[in-house]
Amino acid sequence: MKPSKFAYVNAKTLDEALLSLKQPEAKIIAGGQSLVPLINYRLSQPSTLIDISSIIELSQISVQDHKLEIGSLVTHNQAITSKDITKFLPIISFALEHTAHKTIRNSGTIGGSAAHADPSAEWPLLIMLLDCSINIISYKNSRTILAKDFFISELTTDLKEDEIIKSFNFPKIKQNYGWSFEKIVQRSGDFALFSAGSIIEIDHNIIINSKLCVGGAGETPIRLSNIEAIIKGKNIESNFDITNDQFLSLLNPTSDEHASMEYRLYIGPQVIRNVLINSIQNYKDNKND
Amino acid sequence: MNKDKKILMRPKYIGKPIERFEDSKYLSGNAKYTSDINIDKMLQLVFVRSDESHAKIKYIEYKEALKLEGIIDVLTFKDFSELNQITSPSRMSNYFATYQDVVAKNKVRYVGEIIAVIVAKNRYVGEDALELIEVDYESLDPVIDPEEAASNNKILLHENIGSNVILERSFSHGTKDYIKSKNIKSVSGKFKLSRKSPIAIENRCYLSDYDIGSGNITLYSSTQIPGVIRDALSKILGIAGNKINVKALDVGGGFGGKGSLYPEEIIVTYLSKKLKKPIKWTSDRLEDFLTTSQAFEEIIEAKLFFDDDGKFISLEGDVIGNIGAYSIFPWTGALEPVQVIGFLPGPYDIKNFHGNVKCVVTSKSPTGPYRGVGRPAAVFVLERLVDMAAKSISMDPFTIRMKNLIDTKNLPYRIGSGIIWNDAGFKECLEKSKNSNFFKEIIDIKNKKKCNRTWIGYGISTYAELTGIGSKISVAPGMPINTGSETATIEIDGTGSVSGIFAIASHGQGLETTLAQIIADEIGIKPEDIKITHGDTSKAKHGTGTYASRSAVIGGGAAIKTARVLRKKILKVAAYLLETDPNNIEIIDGIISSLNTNKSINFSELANSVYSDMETLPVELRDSLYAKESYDPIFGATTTATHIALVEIDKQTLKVKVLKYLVSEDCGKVINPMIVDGQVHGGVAQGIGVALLEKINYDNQGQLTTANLVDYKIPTASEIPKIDVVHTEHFLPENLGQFKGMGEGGTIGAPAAIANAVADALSDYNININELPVNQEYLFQLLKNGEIR
Ligand SMILES: Cc1cc2nc3c(=O)[nH]c(=O)nc-3n(C[C@H](O)[C@H](O)[C@H](O)COP(=O)(O)OP(=O)(O)OC[C@H]3O[C@@H](n4cnc5c(N)ncnc54)[C@H](O)[C@@H]3O)c2cc1C
Repeated sequence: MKPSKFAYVNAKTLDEALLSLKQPEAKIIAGGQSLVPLINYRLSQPSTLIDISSIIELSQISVQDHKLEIGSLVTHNQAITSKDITKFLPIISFALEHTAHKTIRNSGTIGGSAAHADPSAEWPLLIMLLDCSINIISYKNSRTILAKDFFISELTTDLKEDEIIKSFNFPKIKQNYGWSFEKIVQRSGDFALFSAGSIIEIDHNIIINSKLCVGGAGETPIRLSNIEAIIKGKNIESNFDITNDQFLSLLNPTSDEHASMEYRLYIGPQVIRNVLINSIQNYKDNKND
Repeated sequence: MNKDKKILMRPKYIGKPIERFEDSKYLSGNAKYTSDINIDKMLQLVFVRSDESHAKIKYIEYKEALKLEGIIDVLTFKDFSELNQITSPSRMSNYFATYQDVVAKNKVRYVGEIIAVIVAKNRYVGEDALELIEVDYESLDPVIDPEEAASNNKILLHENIGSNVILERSFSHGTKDYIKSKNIKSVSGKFKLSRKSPIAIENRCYLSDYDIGSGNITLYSSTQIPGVIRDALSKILGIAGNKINVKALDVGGGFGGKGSLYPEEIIVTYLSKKLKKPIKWTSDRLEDFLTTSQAFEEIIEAKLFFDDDGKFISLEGDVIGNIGAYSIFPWTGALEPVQVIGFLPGPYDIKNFHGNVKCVVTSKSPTGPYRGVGRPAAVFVLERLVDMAAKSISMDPFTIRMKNLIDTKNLPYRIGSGIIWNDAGFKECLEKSKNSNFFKEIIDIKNKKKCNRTWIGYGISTYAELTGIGSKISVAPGMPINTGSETATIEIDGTGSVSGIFAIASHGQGLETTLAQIIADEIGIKPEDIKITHGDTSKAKHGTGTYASRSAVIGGGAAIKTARVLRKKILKVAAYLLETDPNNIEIIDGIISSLNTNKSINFSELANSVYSDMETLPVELRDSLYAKESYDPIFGATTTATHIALVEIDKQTLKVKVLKYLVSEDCGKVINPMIVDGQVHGGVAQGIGVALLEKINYDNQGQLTTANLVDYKIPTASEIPKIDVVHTEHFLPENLGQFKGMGEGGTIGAPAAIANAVADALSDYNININELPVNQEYLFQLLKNGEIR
């Protein structure tokens, strides 16, 4: 478990990193928490590792009118402790507290987590859930892509070899809302066997909009648009009458060493129901404060 | 004269929770492990390992690899032809030894077996070479399912044996007449304990340094058994023992996984001699999963017979042990399965016992000793049966155990399999656990916490184990190596400081501290002033190492015996110097005082007069301050404990959480309560891993699918509850020091207690917890089959 030979570039600026990235088989390293195991197993054999962790402009969190912009180098712990994130999108800080262990959260970054695109990971789920768009840059140009177009399949994104993720735009939620996140693990700090997050926007007890996303349920985090549609317009006190089949219809989990597909399909509907109920409760609790 | 005698109270260090002397180096990162040593011109080995579980090797192509800069050589079996095969003999009849080439010759028998050896300047280029080497196999059918392998001789792993069963043994005691009895009841089940890995933090590592000038070899090895390794290497390599020094430096945990001889150890040593270079190999985690001896994997069918009053009448058991590809040296693959059947009757008075065991070879990694050997499985099975029996006659789990536990007055007691239990508080430990505040609390929690979200239950397990085993009993059944004695050397140097030298090999047990406490009490010095040396065959010429809960019992006994001899020598010299009688001398914290005068000397003065100053002592008193004695407890010391676990199961996720844990144990005289509690805590933590998480999985092609610490789950601190420990001290009068072994007990009792707790939590449902680990998936499968809800 030793990596193959690679050159190392400690990039001081984004330009330097982008220039280096033009070399064939070059690869970005941010926190290294996902990449280092891969290169140690020689599953990835980059010619050059471009360390972006000194590029200060990538580790900013900025609050703008309609959005929160989170730089790709922001670590899990930085997000957990950020006052701005806790204020505008507390679900992020909450969910990330369930990511791995503290030492890993000190190094792991949002950009690395998104680019790695593990369908059980927290950041990808949050990015999909929160209708985030992603600012990507290469030496030649830059583009912004929606989360739903970014995640393609397990460990695969739309990112090109010469591109770097610069930052993530998380739209602020204007309405009053409740949120909830739940993660099922076999052991603390593990990747989710199944996870779900939800944001329910409510006006006069009516659900006017909702976002519901699950992890560990398929090749990418999955937005449950069917359920979002079912509950739209419903009173929060009403019984949503969602059938088990409706809960299951968009889920497409697989079996692995950690859990069978059947277990994931068994736990899935319960977790989704939990986050719906808990989001509404969260809304009520906040209103009473 | 007596009335003038000063009363001096010697402080007692035995029984004190002294902080471990070795902790500061461990906690500050200053411990020195084998891998920390680098020697000039050292070469590293990378092994080409089989990717197939059962196959013939057609050819190995390594020309390209040889071209790489930094690659010294690539060696195959031909280069090791002068080495003897590894084989583990046994005195047991019906035992068939396996023969393993250190580098596979024609055929491989598990994924991870060594096919070729890359000698490289460093590990990086070695792994570059690995990518260029091609091995062509002719696949053979894998041998995976032990039940099938046992009954089917068509696919043989070892053709020369003619069967996949390397040992079958039966035990029978009493009759089978009870079957005819009208009032007889029984409970039975087919139980499985999954294969597990010992998982020490430090992977195995070997570094052999060949000294060209003298021809001596020093093997630094992360081993628990330096003495055994030295003896084995001497035979396999044909080198005199005094030319090989096996040195275990700091060792980062063993749990049995570092308690056997490995091919890598032989290859490293052999090549350093052949190439006249220091040679090192450090296992990575992947190799550790593939090749460090694994544990368990038994299928046990057992039946407990009892009468209406819950009195046990008979126990029947049938064990199939899947020992993996080879019978490991020196213990043999029979070690674990035979102990499962041997310990199955437990600490209970059961008049009839009928047991059978088969040890089956399969194309998986070899199994070997693991903390608790045999007993975690035996206790799991029996204690489940005891709870099932209790439930069937609506008796509570304490009552049925009290009724059947062997009474102290009937000790020594020979159980059906032949093991003899001597002085131990079986009932006392159980009673203490029941009367503890802990038990009141858990009943309280159980009643209060009844809720819609969780099931909650508690479970008990009671067991006995044999520790500190002397020469009359073989640690591994039939093993022709005596592990029943240890030698201690204690000497005082010219400065007056005291050193104790042992052949044990502490690897986290705190023996550097406990042995110092023992010597301190015997001689009258401070424990922190004693240097304990261990794990070095050049310092202690004979002894086998640390395993099987033996070091404190046998090493401690040797320490007492030796210290007493040395103390006599000290008193003799001191009596002359203090001008008094040896009986009128007391030694306290290193000050030797006369009881009837105010004269005293310290150890430095004592040593000076013996070794340096040529005037004070007459020549005949200048005998060196040195003693060396061996100790053999002949039999073993019985340790016992009752464990109670309180668990909660989430009704949605089906995840089991251990909320509280109690161990009520009898390990005889407690040398250091802090170390004992620490060992119990660590053992229970591993037992929680066995019960809830850890599972080595091979697919039907014999590929290991849990080869990293993401897929193979060990408990983290978050999975371990607070663990309470209560002590009982039952002494075995014949044993020096009255110590009993206790390092393995936590792992022995915990799987059973947790399994029983889970069964209790689900007692409203018709289920049987007969497999471990009980993870979400396992409970889900029970649920799916309609057994829960
Ligand atoms: C033991 C353990 C447990 C874990 N548990 C969890 C968990 O429970 N939940 C969870 O979500 N995660 C978990 N993780 C993963 C962790 O969150 C990682 O930190 C994260 O997935 C990757 O972030 P990184 O910064 O370390 O990325 P790196 O490892 O540095 O990189 C990962 C990939 O992203 C690419 N990359 C990095 N930054 C950029 C960028 N700005 N632009 C383009 N490409 C980029 C790299 O080239 C590489 O391909 C765990 C990790 C470990 C080791």
